[in-house]
Amino acid sequence: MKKSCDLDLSALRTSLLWLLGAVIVASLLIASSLHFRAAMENEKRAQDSRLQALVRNYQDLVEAERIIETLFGRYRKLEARGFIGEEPRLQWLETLRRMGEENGILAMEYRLHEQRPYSLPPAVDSGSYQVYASAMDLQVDALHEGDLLLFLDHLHGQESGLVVVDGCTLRRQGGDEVLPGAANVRAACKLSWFSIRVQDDDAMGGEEFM
Amino acid sequence: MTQLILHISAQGMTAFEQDGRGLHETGWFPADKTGLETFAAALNTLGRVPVGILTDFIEEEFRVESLPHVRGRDRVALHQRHAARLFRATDFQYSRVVGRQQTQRRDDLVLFSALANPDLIGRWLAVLDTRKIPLAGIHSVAMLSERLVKPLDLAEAKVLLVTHNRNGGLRQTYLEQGKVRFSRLSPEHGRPSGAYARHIAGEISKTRRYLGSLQFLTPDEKLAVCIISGGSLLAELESCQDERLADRYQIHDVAGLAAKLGCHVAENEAFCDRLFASLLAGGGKPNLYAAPAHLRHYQTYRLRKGLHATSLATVCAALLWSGINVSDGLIFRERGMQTALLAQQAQARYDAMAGRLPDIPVNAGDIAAAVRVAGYIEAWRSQPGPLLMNISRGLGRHANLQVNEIAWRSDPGDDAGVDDAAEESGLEDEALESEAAGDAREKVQYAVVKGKIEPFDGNYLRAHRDIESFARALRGQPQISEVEILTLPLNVSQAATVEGQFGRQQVEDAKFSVGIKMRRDDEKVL
Repeated sequence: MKKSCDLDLSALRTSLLWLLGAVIVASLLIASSLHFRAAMENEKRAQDSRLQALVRNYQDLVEAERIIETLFGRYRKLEARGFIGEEPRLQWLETLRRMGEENGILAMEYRLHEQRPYSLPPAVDSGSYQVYASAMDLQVDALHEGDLLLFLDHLHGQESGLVVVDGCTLRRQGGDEVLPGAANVRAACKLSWFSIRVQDDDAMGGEEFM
Repeated sequence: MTQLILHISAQGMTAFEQDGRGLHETGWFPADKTGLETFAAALNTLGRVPVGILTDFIEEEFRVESLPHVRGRDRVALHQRHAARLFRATDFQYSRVVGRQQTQRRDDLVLFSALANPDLIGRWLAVLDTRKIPLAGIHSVAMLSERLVKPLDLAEAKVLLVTHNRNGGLRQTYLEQGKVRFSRLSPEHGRPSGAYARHIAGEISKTRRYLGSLQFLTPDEKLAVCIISGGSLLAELESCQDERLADRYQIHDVAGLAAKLGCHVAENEAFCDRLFASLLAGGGKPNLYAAPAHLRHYQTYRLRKGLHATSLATVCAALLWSGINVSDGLIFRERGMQTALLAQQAQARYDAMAGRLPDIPVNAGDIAAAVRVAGYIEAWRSQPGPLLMNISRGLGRHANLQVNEIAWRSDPGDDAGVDDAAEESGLEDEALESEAAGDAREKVQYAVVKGKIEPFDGNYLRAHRDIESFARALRGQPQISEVEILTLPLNVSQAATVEGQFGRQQVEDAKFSVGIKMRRDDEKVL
């Protein structure tokens, strides 16, 4: 009873064209609306990022203002002391000589070794600076242990360089009696003179030299 | 949806148009050349709307046959073969199972029906096909009568439904259990006024005898007869109640029945043409007799409609989606503008604050880092003074102990140091070095005191006691955390050999050394 049913494809041509047109229109509509949405979303994200960056910059600026207000004076002192930048070795030696004279040091021998990078603990953020230390072997003849201690104490407090006494070995000289004007105590000390420099400066210096 | 219902009889065709306002008759076309041409002209004005055909022919044949009970494709194939044998001259065939035998093999009772004279409908179909009018299906008044059983509340098992169509004639359809088994059309050839009831009674009587011959009824079995009529015919039927005694008669008004079915029929309508047309237009199974070839334009029409609907749905969905996207985009744009405004304000504040900052050659981060590093170095550097003071206090009560050498070392107590691992402390004492390694995290100072007993009279026991007393005195000093006697004048360890001499003038020096560990103290001593 059932027979095959042939469709009249010619009658469907217009409908198929309509469908094709609808699909094209729909695709264009969706694509353009998605493009519009994406463009607006990207624009908003860009504005968000700009605002966040501005907020961060503003906070950094507030922090910078606080740092400048509170720490810039100390920074200038450190700079004047020779802690920041190239080592003022001549200044250090002059300070050493002056301190020895002022504290009754009878004789002094020194050996200032070459500068080496110094690693701080990870907890201490040195920013863009590299810390350097120059080790110094110092042999001092003093009348009395007290003179030596005064010398080291004044060396700590002086305004030239940042020096740290790593260790000292004090030996009694001569007999049991303290002789006036004689070197009764000899101390062999190890000192470290610290300084910092911006890391980029090193690279630049090297390039210039080359 | 607009559709056309064509009620076709041997005399001609009545066209009904179903649209949003309802069903209304559009014209009568006689079954001759003029009628066909007029119909073709009418179709040109209507356009390609779907058409449902309702036939009402004398030449509609009905057979109930018993066939083996099979299912699925086998049933279809069996029915097709059997129908082809029964109705060789026509393709307008229909079959369906109406019940099963109660005895023997319980074969299926299959109703076969067909429009035995295809020419009666073929000429109309040719007009439709020429214009590619979509034919939804071909139904018949007889088969459509089944749909009246429920609204008429016909509870009887065997019912003869009598309807009167304007152009077809008197249609008597016999139904068992609500299913059509047989139908007969008696054409009208004109009758004297007032003889309508007797005419119907006579036709029913003929049909009853025929049903008996077909063994649908036994001679004594009563038949429920339901007559649907209206207007003046209804009044005539009701005036002749005495003549319908043999069977259980029911008379129903066409208009009332149409109202029950939700169709609109005029109050004084006497015929059922419009009622059946409404039933066909109202939906349900639209096709019984049309072969797939007849329906191809309708399939094309439906596919076209489907494509149009799909196109519309696609565009609507795209519009909806695009609308949502555009709405989202506008929201993003609005929020972006608000953010831009905030950014503008933030930029103004930033510029104002930046203008207040002093012009310095270094940035704040470097200032903070430099101060932080300097602070760290200054914090852990120490002086030997406090430790020496403690040693001096310890020696205060031991005048016979002469100190010859003090080795002092400060330990920062963390991971700081010169990068070159070869840099080591100048201290010689290995014991102190290992001790320092064990407490690397503490900020401590170490010292090794070397000396001798002076004067020493050779009494090692007293010398050792004095040294131990010195060590105890050191342990009592502030910040001293550990004191260890490293060497004694005489090594009396059980693991070592002890040798010496007594009685000579010269006595060896009684040398000793003591290791001291002190927690860092930042106070100034001098």
